[in-house]
Amino acid sequence: MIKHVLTPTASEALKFIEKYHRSTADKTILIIIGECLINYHGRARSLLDWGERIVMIKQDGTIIVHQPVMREPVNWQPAGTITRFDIKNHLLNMKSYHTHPPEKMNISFRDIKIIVVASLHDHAQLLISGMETDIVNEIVSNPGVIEEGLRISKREKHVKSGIIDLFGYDKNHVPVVIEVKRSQATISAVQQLRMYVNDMKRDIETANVRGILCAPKIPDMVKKLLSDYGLEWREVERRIVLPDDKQKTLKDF
Amino acid sequence: MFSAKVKSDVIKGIIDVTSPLVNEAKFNISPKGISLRAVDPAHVAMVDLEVKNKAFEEYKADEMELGIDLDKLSSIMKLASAGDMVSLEYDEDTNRLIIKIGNLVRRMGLIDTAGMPDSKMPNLDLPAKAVIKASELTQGVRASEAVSDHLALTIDKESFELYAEGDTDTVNLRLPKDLLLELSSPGKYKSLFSIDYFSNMIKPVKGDDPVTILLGNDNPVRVDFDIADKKGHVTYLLAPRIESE
Repeated sequence: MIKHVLTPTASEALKFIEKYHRSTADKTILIIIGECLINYHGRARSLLDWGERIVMIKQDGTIIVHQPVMREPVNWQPAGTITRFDIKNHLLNMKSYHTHPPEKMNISFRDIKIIVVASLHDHAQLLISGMETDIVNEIVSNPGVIEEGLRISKREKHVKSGIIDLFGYDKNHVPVVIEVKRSQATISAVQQLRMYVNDMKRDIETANVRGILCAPKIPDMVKKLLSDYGLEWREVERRIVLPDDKQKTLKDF
Repeated sequence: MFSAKVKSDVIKGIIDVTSPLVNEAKFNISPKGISLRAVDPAHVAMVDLEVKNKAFEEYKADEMELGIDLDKLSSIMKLASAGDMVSLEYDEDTNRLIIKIGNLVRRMGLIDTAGMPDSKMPNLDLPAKAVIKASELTQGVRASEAVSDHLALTIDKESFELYAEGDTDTVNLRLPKDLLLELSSPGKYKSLFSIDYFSNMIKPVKGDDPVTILLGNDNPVRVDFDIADKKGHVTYLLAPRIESE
C-alpha cells in the first residue's frame, strides 16, 4: 500500500494522515516533506527554527528528521515513540513522546510539499562481512556474532581496573564481559579480561560472570591461558561468516 | 629432527594455497616430505597438500608436526626474492623454526598443534572429470567475479562449462572437448559454487598448468593441481551452494 498527497493544507494533511497512517496493527511508514519547526524536551532542550526538512515516522515508531544536507538526522526519537497529530494555530502539529527516558518532541508544519504513507515489508537483515568494520560496532549491532541470545547492555563500562569494552547478558541472564582486540590477542589481554571479570563479580556480587576475549586472531597459547582461567574467546573477523543458507558445508557430505 | 633447504618459491606456493582458508596450519613432516590438510572455519572448503622431499634441495626429517602461523611465515617469506634459497631447521630446545634467508636468521615461534584437529577427507562420488588449462579457468572466474558471487560448473559428455549470472549480466565459458586437456563424463553434472572461494582455490595455478576438476550433481567440487615443479600436489574440496529455486 502506498498513498500520497501533494501540497495539502493543514486540515487536508490531518485528514490524510488520520485516514491512511496506522501506528497499530498493519503499521505504516509516514513521510512528510515540508517546512517545520522542532521543539525538543528531554535529556536536553533544543529548538530548531523553521526550515525545509524530511520527517519520517517508521513503522516501529522511530522518528527521523533530516535536513537537506548531511548524513545524520538533525533530530530523532527511538523505536516505540508515540506520535499524535492535531491542528494548532492553523498548523499541522505532531507531538511525540516516550517515557524512558522522558522525552517530548513537537513538530509544527507549514507549507507541506508532500505526505506519503506506505506499508513496507522488509525481512532482510543487513549483512556486513566484518573484515573492515569496527569490531565493537559489529558486536553491538549484532551480538549474535558472539553468541545466540547475547544482549549488549553497555559499551565502555567503568570498573576498578579499567574500562570494559562491552558488557551484557547471555541468554541465561549471566553477565558477560567482552574485551575486544583489533589485532592479535596477547597474554596481557587475558590478564586484563581476568581483572575485569573479577571486578564485575565483586561489583554485582555474583560468582557467575563470563569473560570473552574477541580478536581477529587468537594464538593457541593465549587460548590455552584463557581456558585455564575459565574464560572464553571468539575469533571475530574470521568467524563472521555471512549467514548463507544456500552454502553447504563439507560436513554435509 | 627437521632440516631442509628449498627455493623460496616452494614455500610461497604452500602459503598461497593454504592461507586463503586458515591462519594457522599443522604441517606434517615426514622423511618423504611435507603435507598438510586444513579446513576453513566455515567448513566450506578444504585443502590437502603434499610436497615431496624431491622438491627440496636438501631434506632430512623424522616424523613430526609443526604448528605454523601462516601470516607470520608469509611475512618472513616476503624477505626472500624469487629463486632465493631458504633453509629451514627445527630447533627442538626452543620449539622454534629457524629460517635462514641469505645471511638473515629468523627464529619463528611455533604454535601448539594439540588444538588443531585432523580433518577427514569426505568420501565423494564425483563422476565427471575435466582437465583445463589454468589460464582458461582463471579468465572465466575473473569474468564471473564481476557479475555475481556464485558460478555454476557443468561437465557433460561434450564439454566443460562455467556460467555466472548476475542481475543484469552473465558470463559463459564453454570449452568443448577438443579445447580441454582431458574430458570424461558419463552424463551431465552440475553444481553451484561461491566465486570467492573458487577464485582463491585456483589463484595459485597459472598459465598452461593443468587443473583437474571433478564434479557431481550438487556435490562438492574437487580441484587438483601440481605445485613445486610437479614435486608437490594440491587437492581442494569446495562445498556447493544449493541451486536457488
